[in-house]
Amino acid sequence: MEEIIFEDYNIKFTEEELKQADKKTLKKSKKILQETLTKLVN
Amino acid sequence: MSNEIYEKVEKLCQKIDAFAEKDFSVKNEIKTEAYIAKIKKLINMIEKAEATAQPGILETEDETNENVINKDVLESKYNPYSEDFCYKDRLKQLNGNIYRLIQELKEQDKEGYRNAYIINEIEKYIPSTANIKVREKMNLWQKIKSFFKK
Repeated sequence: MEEIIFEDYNIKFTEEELKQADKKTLKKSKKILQETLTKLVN
Repeated sequence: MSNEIYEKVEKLCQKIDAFAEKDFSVKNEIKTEAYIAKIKKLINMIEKAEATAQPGILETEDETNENVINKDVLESKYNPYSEDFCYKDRLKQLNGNIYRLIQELKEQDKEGYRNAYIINEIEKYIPSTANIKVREKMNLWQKIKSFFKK
């Protein structure tokens, strides 16, 4: 079971909970994560 | 569950965005690298989940509406009969033509004469049926024409 923890913000995501989400939510989530990633990289 | 996940991702992004906006000297390089690695991993996990995920209840309807809106925007933007399109297209054409005419005029100046046909050429590019926006812009052409008439 894969999981990822952002300790600084006390936020955890597990493979299992992501599997329960619908496609639209995942797509939306991915989009905002990519935007944040761009901000971090720049 | 879907909403909860999105809210969690949104909360995380807001916090990391705030961190990313901090001054470079304050930002911790190690933390930045760790966030990048974790976000990439999370995106990877999301992509895996996407492969087997069910479409949302409203997804099809929403996406259809979104597509219709996008199509409408595109059509209004690129409609060759729209005023804006004609205006931009006309200006683009005029810019190219005027550049060529100016070069020609410079050449003639070097040879010590100016041919009236250049002024006639410019007038060809001023459409008599132009819409208001183009006509307004045409005032600029009066100035250009007076330059040529010097």
